[in-house]
Amino acid sequence: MSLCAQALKVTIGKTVVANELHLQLLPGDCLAVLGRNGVGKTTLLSVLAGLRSPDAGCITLHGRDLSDWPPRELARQRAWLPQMLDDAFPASVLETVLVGRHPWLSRFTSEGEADIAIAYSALAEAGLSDYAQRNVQMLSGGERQRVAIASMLTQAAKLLLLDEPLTHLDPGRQIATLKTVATLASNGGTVVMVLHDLNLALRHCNRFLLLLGDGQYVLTDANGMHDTALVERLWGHAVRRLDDDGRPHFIAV
Amino acid sequence: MVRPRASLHLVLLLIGGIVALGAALCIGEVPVRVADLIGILRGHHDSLSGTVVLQLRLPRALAAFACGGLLAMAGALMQMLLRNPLADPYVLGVSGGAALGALTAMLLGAVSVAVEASAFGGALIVMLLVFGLAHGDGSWTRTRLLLVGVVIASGCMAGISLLLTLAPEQQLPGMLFWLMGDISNAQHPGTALTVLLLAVIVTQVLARDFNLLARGEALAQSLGVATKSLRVIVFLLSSLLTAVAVSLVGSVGFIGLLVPHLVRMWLGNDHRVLLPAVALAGGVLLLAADTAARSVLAPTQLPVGILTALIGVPVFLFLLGRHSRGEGA
Repeated sequence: MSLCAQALKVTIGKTVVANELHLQLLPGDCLAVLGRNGVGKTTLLSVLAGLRSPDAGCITLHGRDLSDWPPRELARQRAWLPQMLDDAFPASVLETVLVGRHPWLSRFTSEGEADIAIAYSALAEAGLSDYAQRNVQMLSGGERQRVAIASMLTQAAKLLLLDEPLTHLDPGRQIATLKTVATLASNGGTVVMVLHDLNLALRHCNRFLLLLGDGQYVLTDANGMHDTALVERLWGHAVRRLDDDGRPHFIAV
Repeated sequence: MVRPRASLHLVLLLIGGIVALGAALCIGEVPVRVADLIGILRGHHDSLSGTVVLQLRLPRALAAFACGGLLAMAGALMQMLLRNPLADPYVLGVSGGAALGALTAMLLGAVSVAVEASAFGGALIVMLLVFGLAHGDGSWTRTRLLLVGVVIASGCMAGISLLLTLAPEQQLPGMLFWLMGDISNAQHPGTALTVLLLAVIVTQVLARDFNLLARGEALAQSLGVATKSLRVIVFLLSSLLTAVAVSLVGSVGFIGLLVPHLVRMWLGNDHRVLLPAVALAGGVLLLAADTAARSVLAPTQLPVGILTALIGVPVFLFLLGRHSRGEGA
């Protein structure tokens, strides 16, 4: 799996999210996209997912331009976890998770035993084994988020793009989710996720894309993130660095 | 997975349809016994009751069934497209637009197909207007959509009143029925039944895509659904279904709201099951309502639209109350 962005320019209205962005992601990569509110993280992620066209530049997956991929084939390769989910209609958790099988089923096939087994193992991974028959409209925010994660796992794609996957999750679940995702990456997957918790990102990601506003960005590895001045620039806020076990932690003061 | 259970429910609905049809054929000023009905349908008919059943009640009953199914399916499709359980051809003014189109054509002297084409045009224009205006802020919020729909619907009503005022007196009775929904004039249910059957088949092919679209456009797109073209298809299809129904029975309200809601509570929101079930249930409901409307105050025949509104208004208010409390928001 390799996702490659070249000379990418992304804007929303007058805001320049990224300019001249070059990015190559390989199997095993886990990239955290960091930045302040409104800097355009979600927009960039949807461009990388092929859901929105860039203003300039190109993105290729396996050497083929994203816009040339048939939607169904692309959906077998990359999964996207959206930031906000609202359910207009009632549905069971199992039905909702099975949605991830859509790209794998031909038009006239229904979900079979194998698909249901995949859905159940995704539910187990998200700690939702007992939830299969619950109505998604009756779940708490954190539970609903875990259903979305399970749904994404059911899609069995190698490239995962996650927009704030930790929203509403309790600390234990945040770690469990990041571990799940990191395992997928170490098994040959590629992960891009928008995160706000820099310390969690430092523990679980190996690459970091910092969006600094006005199209400026820094792309670096874990060592590059040990720079307090850079984190201050990222957050636009004074930062204190605490080291624990040789690992830096950053706290906004 | 849910398939065997779902097909059982569809069979139940089909049996319900046959029972409702039998009742519609037997009940009336000339009562027919069930044993006689079977004889009549086999071709052994004596003069009066045979004529009443085959030439008056059967076309009317089939028209009621077809239009109920069409309106209910149109409602379910609009709700899916707008991700809003309160959408309905009548509430959004689409029925009004179809009626306005049909009346204009009638006033200009058009007949049959031209009237129906004009009704389709009216439905399409109103849907474009409502969707376009409600989409102005980038999202179809519930209140905005309903407000726009209600305003457009009242505009259509004003247009209809204007046409009725201008219309020559001999055309008035034929035109008035558009206002309240009346099946007594419907004698040719063939087109409506065909459209209903085709719609059930076409939507069956697309039903899994609908399931995704109902969960959000971006999500559906990320799962490989060509959302843009799918939305156009749903848009045209729901306008067509509404227009065919309205051009046959006038603006019967609330079927498109009530039926999908009830079926969804019963069978869930899987469109592979929901849409055929809604088509059958809508047919059964409108057929039963029409049978009641023409027999409750017999010999006076009530327009069936009055009856559906009597059931529909409280249910709509109940739903609106539930949704504004944030349930399923």
